[in-house]
Amino acid sequence: MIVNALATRLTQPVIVPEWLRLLKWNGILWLGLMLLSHSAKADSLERILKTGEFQFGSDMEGGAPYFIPNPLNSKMPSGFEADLLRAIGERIHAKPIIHQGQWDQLPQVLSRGDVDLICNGFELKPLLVQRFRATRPYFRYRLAMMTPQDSKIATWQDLLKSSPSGQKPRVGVLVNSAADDYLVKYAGDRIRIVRFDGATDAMLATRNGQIDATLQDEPAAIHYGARPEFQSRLKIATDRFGAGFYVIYVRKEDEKLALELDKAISGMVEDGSLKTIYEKYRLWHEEQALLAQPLAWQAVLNSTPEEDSANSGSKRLGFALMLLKAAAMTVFLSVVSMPLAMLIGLLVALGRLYGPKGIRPLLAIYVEFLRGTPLMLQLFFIYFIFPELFGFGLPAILASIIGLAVNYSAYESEIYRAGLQAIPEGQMEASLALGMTRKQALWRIIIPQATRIVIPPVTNDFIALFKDTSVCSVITIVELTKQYSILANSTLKVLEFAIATSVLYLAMSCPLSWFARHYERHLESENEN
Amino acid sequence: MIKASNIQKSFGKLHVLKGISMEVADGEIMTMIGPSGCGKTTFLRCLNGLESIDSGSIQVGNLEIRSGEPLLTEVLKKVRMRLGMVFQQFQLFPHFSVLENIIEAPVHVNAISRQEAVSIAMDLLRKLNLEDKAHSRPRELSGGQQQRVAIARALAMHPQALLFDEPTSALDPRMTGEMGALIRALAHDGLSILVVTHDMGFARRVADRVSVFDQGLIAEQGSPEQVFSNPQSAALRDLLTESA
Repeated sequence: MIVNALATRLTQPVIVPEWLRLLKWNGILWLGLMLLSHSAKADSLERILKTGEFQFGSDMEGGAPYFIPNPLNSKMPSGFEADLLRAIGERIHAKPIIHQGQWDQLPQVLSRGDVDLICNGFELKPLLVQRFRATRPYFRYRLAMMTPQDSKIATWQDLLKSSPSGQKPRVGVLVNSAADDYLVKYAGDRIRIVRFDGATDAMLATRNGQIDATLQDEPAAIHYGARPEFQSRLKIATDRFGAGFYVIYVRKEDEKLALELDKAISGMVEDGSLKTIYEKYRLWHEEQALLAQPLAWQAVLNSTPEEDSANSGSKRLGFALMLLKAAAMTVFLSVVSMPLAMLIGLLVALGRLYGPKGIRPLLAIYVEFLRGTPLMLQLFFIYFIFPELFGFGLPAILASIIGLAVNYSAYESEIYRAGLQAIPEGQMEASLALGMTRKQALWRIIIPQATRIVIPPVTNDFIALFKDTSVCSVITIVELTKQYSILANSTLKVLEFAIATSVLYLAMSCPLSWFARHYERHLESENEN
Repeated sequence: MIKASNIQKSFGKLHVLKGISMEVADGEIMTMIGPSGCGKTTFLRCLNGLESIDSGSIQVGNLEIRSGEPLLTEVLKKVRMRLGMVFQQFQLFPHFSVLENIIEAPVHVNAISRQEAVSIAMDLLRKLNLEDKAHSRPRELSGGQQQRVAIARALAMHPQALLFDEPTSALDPRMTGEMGALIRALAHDGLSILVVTHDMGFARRVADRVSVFDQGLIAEQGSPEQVFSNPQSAALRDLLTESA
């Protein structure tokens, strides 16, 4: 079910192989493969030295200035972390090769064994330290807040105090990033967190006025804040906060590799080559001096997560409620957008069959256009691009409902068209002969009969739409799949959440499937008489 | 009274009706026979506006449809309400019960109350011996019963005339006899009846007058005795040879 639900996500514009995309969502399969791949592995350092190459995981989608896609070399982007890895590579005599993955999924990619290390602004934090081997830090990061140019919010304190029209301010973050953690910890109940899959998506939404602010790692804020798309539209708050360290993570059993990396980074801190890289990207600030003081980070390296009590009753209940709430969002999106899709679809089908000759080709183009482009792209358009063109942004929920309804209306119109055409012409003639108008005949005689015919295929489409609601996560809707992804990645309890999520999906879609089959049989038995 | 004057009709290059004139009085039964493709069914469909006419005029009581004039939907609607049509395949509405089939047009076209429509419909069903089928679905009825429901549906609009397209094609000989009796009874009540049929025996038995169609024209017309005992046209002689 989850695999089906996410087949549509394959359309996402990233370079990860398709099978991997499917796997990352399927906890059970994932765990099995992980165990297989691990049992056969010695320390990766030997292989790296033998082949002269190492694979690292990172996300180039909105990833500047960490990694910037390089049109001249698809295997190695530019960016300050790319420069860092190249320098490290020279010191350990191996060439870095990028493995693209969605940022919040990269720790799982490392677990699976697809990459030797992950290096993409991953902060030093207990949850990851418990699971992976962290190297010494290579960067001191701080958080910076971006707001629209005309916003009254200029500092972190302003944000906490502000409440435009009595509502909590909406703050966008990269899902599961340091900024996300920071908001949860220090502002959780005073703001509304809106989670994005990409850092720049959050900036776009801020620029469009769909959210009030976005909290970003300073490098991203500085880099994108200077880009023409944002320069005159977004401002960066003056204060910095939520500082921490970026580290490279490797698998725990790769201790030898980690020691080599530690040595290389330390060398670069000492001989100033690290500073050279950061200055090139205008990222050097006085706090980077802490990189030379092991005391500043030793405590975190040795720490264990505060209390890892995901098994405790109240926490479990909390997670269950979060999943149920997300499931309610999935149901809400489905039951609101499907009737709309059916209504629009019916009108389009009527227009194509009975409407004025002039609009028929236009409606045909409407159908072909919507069926021929991915839902995800349409959602992006409605949420991110539409505000650019028309000057006002739609809230994510409304954008999702419109996107789903319009996308599915194309499919429903084709189903309705077939249904309407299946009604004998004589039914219309008999209605006209009785003095009915064409309109009366359509609504009283033809459409009710066509509707009975289309119920089974429409029900099937409803199940498909129900699962396609997960695509809305790209425009910050936290529905069931997204909530699964957030919880699984932030707790690393993938299997448990995958099972719970699957069960919820099945509990919702099985009754629908059952209804569709039952109704189909009912129609068949009717037709036999 | 129904009067058609010099009706012409083409489908593309195919000239189907080449000038048909016909007058049917109240209470009169006119049967129309002729080889396949002679235009008799097209003529029937032209009468109630299911096909537009290229030239000529159709008069139903004091209403008139002329070719070349923009078709007023109001006039067309009134003409259709005065001409009940019983299709060859009956075309009952399968998603409605028998009763709902009959009251649909009175309620939604004539705008009479549902209660009144139901009482009219039940009267008709009683006369047609279908009272117990009021709440059945059309598919649960035999062909003959479905045909009588189609007649009741047309009668519920209080038409001046009934148009039948091949009413005996789905009936056995005994049912054909009953249908003839029913048509006679309806004519006796003052309705004009126009019947298109392939069944020579039926056309002869039931008719007051017979029209023989051939290649878009009326080849001959007259009382059944006249026409059948002394056929003037080659078309009718061929038909009689075939059916003999």
